[in-house]
Order: sequence, then C-alpha cells, then structure tokens
Amino acid sequence: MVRAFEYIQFFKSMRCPSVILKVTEHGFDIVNANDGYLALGALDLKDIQGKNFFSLYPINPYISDDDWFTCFESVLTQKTEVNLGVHKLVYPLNTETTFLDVRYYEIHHIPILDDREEVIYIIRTLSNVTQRVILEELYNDSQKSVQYGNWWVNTQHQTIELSSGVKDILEVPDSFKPDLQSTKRFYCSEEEVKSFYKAVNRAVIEKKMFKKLLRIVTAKGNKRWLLLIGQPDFVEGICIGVRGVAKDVSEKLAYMDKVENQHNSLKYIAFAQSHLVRAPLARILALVVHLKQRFNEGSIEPQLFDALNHSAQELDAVIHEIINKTVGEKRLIVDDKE
Amino acid sequence: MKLNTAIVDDDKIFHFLMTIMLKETQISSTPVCLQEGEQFLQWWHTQKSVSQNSLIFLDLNMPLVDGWQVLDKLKAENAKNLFVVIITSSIDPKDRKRAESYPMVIDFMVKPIQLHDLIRIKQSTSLTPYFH
Repeated sequence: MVRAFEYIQFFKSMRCPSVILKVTEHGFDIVNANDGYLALGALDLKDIQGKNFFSLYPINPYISDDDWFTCFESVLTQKTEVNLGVHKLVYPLNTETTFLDVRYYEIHHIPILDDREEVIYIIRTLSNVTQRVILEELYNDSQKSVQYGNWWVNTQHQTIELSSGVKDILEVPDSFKPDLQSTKRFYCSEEEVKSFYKAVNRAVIEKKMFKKLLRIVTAKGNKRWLLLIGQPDFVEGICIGVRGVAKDVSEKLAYMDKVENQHNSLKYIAFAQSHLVRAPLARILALVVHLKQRFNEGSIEPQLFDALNHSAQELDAVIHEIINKTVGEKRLIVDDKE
Repeated sequence: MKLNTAIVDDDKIFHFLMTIMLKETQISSTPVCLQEGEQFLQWWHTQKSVSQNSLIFLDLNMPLVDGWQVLDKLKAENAKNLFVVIITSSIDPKDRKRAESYPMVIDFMVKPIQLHDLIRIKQSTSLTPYFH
C-alpha cells in the first residue's frame, strides 16, 4: 500500500503532463493523470478517471480525426516507446484562443507490458517544446529572409547536412536528404565542382577559412550565385569535416552588374559630351566666326552654309545616339526610377 | 629657321578654317593637312629624315590611330625638332593633364580655335625663334 502511494506521488509530481491509460477490450480507460495533464484540458481527475479516453478527447482544435483515433496503434504493435512527434495544441484552453495560446508538445507513448508481453497500460506524455519550436522557426525564417543557410560536410562519414535556409536556396523540400553525390547536381559544371573541392582541400591543408563564389542550378532549374564561406573542423589535429555558411548573392551581383552598366553609361555620356557633342558644336562656332568675318568683308563662300548645316545635323545625330545608348538600350534613367 | 606645319584632324572643315587662320597669322602659308595618326607618322618620318623642324596641330579623337597613340609613338621614338599643339573639342580636364606628360606638347587648345589663340602660339617661347 505504501509502495503504491509512493508511485502515485512520483507520477503526480512529474512536471511533464502525463496520463496513464489501461488497455481494455473497449478501448483505453483513463487510470490516472497528473496535474499538468489535467490543466491542459481544464478538467478535474474525477471528471476523467475510469472514462474511455476517446469519449473525452480530443478537445484540441488542431487534431485531425484520422491521426487521433489511430494514435495508439503503433505502440500496441511495436510494444516499445513511440515518439509521435511534435503536435500543436492550445493552452490554456479558453473559449477564445489567440495565437499566444498555441503550444507545441512532443508526444510519447510508453507501453507497460504484462508477463505475456502484452500491452496493459500506456503512459501518454506531452513534453512542452514550444520554446524550441519557436526558436527553430525564427532561425529558419531569418535564414529564409536573408537567403542564407548553414552546411556541414562530415568527411569521416562522407555525409552532408544542410539547414532549411540552404534547402530553400536550392529549392528542395525540407525532407531532402543530401549526400556528397546528390549535391553535385546543383553545380553548374564539372569545373565548378573541381574548383570548390580545390578550395576546400586547400583550407583543410592550411587549416584556414575559405571563401568561394559558385554558380549553381537549383532543383527547379534556376541559376543562382552562392557565396560559400567555410572552415575545416579539427579534432586533435584530424579534420573531421568542413562547415560554414552559404549565402545567395544573386541579387547582390545583379545589382552590382546594374551599377557597373550604369557606370559604363555615365562614362560613355562623359566621353560623348566631351568629344562627340563638342566636335560638331566647336565646328559650328568656328564657322559662325568665320562667316561673320566674311560677311563684313562681303565675300561669303556659299559652301560654308552647307558645312554649317552638316555640322548641325551631325550634332543632332550625336545627341540621338547618346539618348539611344543610355536611355533606350541600357535604360539608365528608367532603372533608377524603378 | 624653317618650320613645316601640319594639321592632323579627321575634320575637313577644320582643315579649311585652320588653313585660312594659319595663313592670316603668317604661321604657315602651306600647311599639310592629314586625316589621321598613321598618315601623320608616315609624313613625320620623311620630315625627320631631312632634319626638318615641324609644328603639328594634333587632334585627339580620330579614327584608326588617334592623337594619344601618335603621342605615345613620338615619345617612344624620343622625337626631336617637333612642337605639338593639341587641338581638341574635349573639355575633359583629364585630357589636358595627360597631354602635359608628353615633352613635345607645347600647348593644349580647345576648339573652336580663334586667331588670337594662334597668335599666342606663334609668340610662345618655343616658337619665337622661328618667326623673327
């Protein structure tokens, strides 16, 4: 009796919300629940004790019927602890919930077996992992928003790990399991692969950080520029892997390209204004001076008017060419507005 | 002392006006008109072989061999007895600065060229001995 009392006290004192279910012919009857578990549903023990689990639950709005009514099948067949993964719940369970009440729980089903190795009890525990999930989501969101991610190559086991940020850049699903061979398809060419591994090998030999700009093709066929910064990992002088960050710099490079184009346009404008525009203009000015002088002397050469007309037309053509090259082709002014 | 004068420019109207002004200022009554740099270099080599002194009005922006290439070749050949006046429509100060690095360049003039510009050239220290 004393032992039974102590076990109940141990169970009650567990901070992790837990419920003990007895496996019966009719289903799963609630034997006991600790305070943490009762608080989740805002219930008293007397309201649930001895009742069928599925007659009371679910009261969580995020659970689908398909998942719910088969949730004990795996523990009954496997007869070992089963991790059902992270589930979204509402706590406290109020009539009006907000996103602030959303919690994440990792659910475990632990079987208690009898002498015949049959499952007679199931302990259902719900570990609150809200903080961890939120931090992971924030981390993944931040990687997504700034288009960067982490990668780690284990040279001992020849495996590769990619963060969700890198997977987003590569346009592969989160479930994508990379390996050294499968990641080669993202390189633009065999030369890029060789160049990358050359940089890695040098970093390992020199025990230094490396930086490499790679042109890649994503799973959806989009070409991107990736800046990889990595450093070798050493344990007692032996390199066990290389880890680092990858940043999608395609937009930055495109912007730099645009700026360079604009710079070239401005250089062209400066040259054109200094040489091309001023050449016919200087000629017009010289002709006007000469014509004025000849007019005063009463001896104007008629062909000088043709020269004047020719120069004015040349000036007009040069101005048109400048406009076409800077606004028409390179869209300098329009780009600035965009 | 005799001074042969050449106008090196791809603009024929400039040749016409410059020839008139060179005559009026009595700098040259028969200036040689050349269209681009290579033509000038060939002419210059003939002048050099007979040790003639030359005054060159050289444009910078020309097709084929431009004014800068001409100056580079003259500098490489360590040209002597040669006075170069740059005549250009460029108002870029970088061009003026660059021209100063060539020892044979005695002046840098921006088009349009006027009579008083040529008189100033004629009266410059380098050319005074040729016009007395």
